[in-house]
Amino acid sequence: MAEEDLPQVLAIEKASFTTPWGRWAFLVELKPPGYAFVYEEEGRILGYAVMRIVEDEGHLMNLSVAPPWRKRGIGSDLLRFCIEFCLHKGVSSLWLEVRESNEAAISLYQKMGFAVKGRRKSYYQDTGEDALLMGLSLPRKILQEAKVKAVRTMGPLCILELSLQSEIPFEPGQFVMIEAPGRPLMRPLSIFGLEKKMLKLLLRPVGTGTRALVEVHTGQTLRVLLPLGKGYPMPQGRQKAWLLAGGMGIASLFPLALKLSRKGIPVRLLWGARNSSWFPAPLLWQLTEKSISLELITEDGSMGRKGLITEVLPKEWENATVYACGPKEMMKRILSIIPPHVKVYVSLEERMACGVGACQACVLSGRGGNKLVCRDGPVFEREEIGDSLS
Amino acid sequence: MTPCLETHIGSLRLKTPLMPASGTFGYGDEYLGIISYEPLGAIVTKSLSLKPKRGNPPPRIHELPCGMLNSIGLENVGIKRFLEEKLPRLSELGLPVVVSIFGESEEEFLRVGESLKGAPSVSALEVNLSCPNVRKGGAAFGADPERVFHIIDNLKERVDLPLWAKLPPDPFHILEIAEAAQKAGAHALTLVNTLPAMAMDIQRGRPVLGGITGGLSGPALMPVALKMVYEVTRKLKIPVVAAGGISRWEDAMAFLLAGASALQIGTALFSNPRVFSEVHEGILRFMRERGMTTIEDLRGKAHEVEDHPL
Amino acid sequence: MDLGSGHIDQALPSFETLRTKFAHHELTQRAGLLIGKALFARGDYKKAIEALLIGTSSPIKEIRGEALCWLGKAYWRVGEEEKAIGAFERAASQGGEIAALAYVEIGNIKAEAGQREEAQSAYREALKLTQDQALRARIEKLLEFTREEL
Repeated sequence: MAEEDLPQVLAIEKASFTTPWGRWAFLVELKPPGYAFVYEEEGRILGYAVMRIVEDEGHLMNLSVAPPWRKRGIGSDLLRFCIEFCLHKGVSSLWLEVRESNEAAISLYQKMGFAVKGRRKSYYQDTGEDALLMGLSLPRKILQEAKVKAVRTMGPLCILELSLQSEIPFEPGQFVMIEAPGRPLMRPLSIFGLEKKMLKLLLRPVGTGTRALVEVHTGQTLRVLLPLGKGYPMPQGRQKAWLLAGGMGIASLFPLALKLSRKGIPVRLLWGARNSSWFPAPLLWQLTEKSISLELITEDGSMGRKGLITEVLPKEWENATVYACGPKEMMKRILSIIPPHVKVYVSLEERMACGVGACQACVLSGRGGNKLVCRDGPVFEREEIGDSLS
Repeated sequence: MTPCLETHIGSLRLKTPLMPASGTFGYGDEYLGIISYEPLGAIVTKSLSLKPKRGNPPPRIHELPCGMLNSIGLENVGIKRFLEEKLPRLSELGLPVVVSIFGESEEEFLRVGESLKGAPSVSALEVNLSCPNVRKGGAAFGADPERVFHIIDNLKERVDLPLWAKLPPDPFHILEIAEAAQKAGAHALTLVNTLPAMAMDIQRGRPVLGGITGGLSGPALMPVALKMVYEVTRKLKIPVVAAGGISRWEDAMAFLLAGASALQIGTALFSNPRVFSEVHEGILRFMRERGMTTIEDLRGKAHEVEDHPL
Repeated sequence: MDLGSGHIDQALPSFETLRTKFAHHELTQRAGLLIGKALFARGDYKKAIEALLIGTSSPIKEIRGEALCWLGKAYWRVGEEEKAIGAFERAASQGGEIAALAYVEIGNIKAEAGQREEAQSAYREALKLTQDQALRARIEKLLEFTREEL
């Protein structure tokens, strides 16, 4: 919007609102932190939007379409543009107030993903009606500095606890990219736990990055980017869930087990590893939650059944949705054993640089073209991956 | 008085000298919502070919102590899908779009370039000359001054977009190759692309990368790139876009002093997605502290030591 | 003292005052438990320990017991297994439902340290102290896992 647009804008404003903005109100918003846009067709302004952006919060202050041009999707287009603009600016939440009685506007906002977050009593002076405060959280891959709170080694495993700067929702199966001190690239790690602002990661110090990570001390900050990727979908209908974890595969399946259990969905969790040192008691305790039926398998028989997870799979898969995560060999074998009609989700891994789908390093040659583990996965349906595990 | 970071590449005005390096920023919108695009002066796309290309099998990357190897294999959706699906989205970002192109033959370079004639919002073509000339045994087009001349010359004739020739880091022939590009009519040079390299998996007894060899990038490449930018801008009067291991504002400063007009950052984005904001801030601060008001106050200043020997 | 809304940083100065001026007051000890739990939730384990220690001197059994359990967990998080076991043992001696959970925690620490027999006896103590079927089922599972396979 530019100053020369104001005559047209003000005309629309007067026609749309009982308490219209004046010229000066618009002038102020023509430069940052104000941002104003017009919807134009053949030189004629049909609508406009005015926003203010401060830090990572946006406030939609005005959105209007000239009365003869309403109900043609111009409002949606303007709103969509504002949202895109906010994304461009790195805004993470967008807010607005709307008259409680303005059903059309409320419906428009809700379609775009806004939710009512609060209420301002008697906000509108002319009618004394309340304003509904609506907010929209913008796409949620967040880059933050996380603070190390605890590093707990348990046998070959290590749990890293970090506190984030804000509460971030996640789906089990999603992962983070975390700075590996002293190394150029960040490392992808499954989100083992994320509650309130506490992030938990399970790792095994085998590579240069993970070995650097277990050496961190409390109070240190590490860059993290999360939540990334697509998580495990819930089982359909009345299905029960079979979770097959091979070694470190437990990292992504652990939060899934807990989530399913809390939803009352019966969980059979098979966790196989080399020996008993892989099963720290505190983790086992958490996995004895009520809807979880846990079975342990060790190669040397030092805890639970002896053998490999692939040797103890059931023959019957009635009403089951299977979730598998573990070494490639294990997953290949699992997919060949489980009958094709059973739904199986697998979580894969591949070397990554960006974690967001920009560099295309983490390719999986699936059916129907290349997929990226970071963006299209890491959770895939068995049909998607075809033969690419071999 | 706030320093102004505006810069020019020929007639193309950029509000800041910073942009991503081709291949590290996808098709431009993957980082939306994660970082602010404010510090960027332009977007540079993934290199595009005539037909879609699947690229190499994994592993496609390998980390090194100060950098990385990549052998993505120029995977891309092909110019047709780019024009239909990706470019409209890119145009909405409000930034100049530099489209990177390549071909497996000289004709292909031309045909890809022609497909972009008249495309809305495309501000320049970055010609990726580091891809192998399959017909002539696989050496990069960019290693041969004659090939470089022909490719740029043909594009210049048929496509009226500014051309940036992106050259491989050949330390012994860079001047010759740069001169060929300039003579052919390139509006700018991007120096440099990645350095051919490889890594070995000694446990398995074979190369780490699925594509066997790959390109080295990151801090390890910086001194090599810096020398080339310095030498080329000293000898030739052609704008240079510097690329090669920039990870901090000090690196950006080094390249500007060496004569660069603009800067690309790639690998560093993976360590620190906020690198653009941090470098932008750093350059501003440096200039403010020294009372500099424009990029021209810095650009190429390092040459003076040779221009006026004591 | 505003803890309900989770504004723990605002509560901390008030807590300091309570701690220095009214160290043995019942309110202070109760606050110690609440603040300790909040600090634990955000990973400030060292500070949580300080606050919880105050809670453990409460004459009220429930407060003391709960504070001791959280103290044990906090000690374990910072790698002080011995102190953790000490806290859990004190919690266990309080009796009640908490005692069973305290014994489970002791069992877990022992199991992790490879001391299966001690782990098993702790789990068995826990079983003795609770009639809750769900809890018993879980403890039995742990007993099963830590049984020596010969």
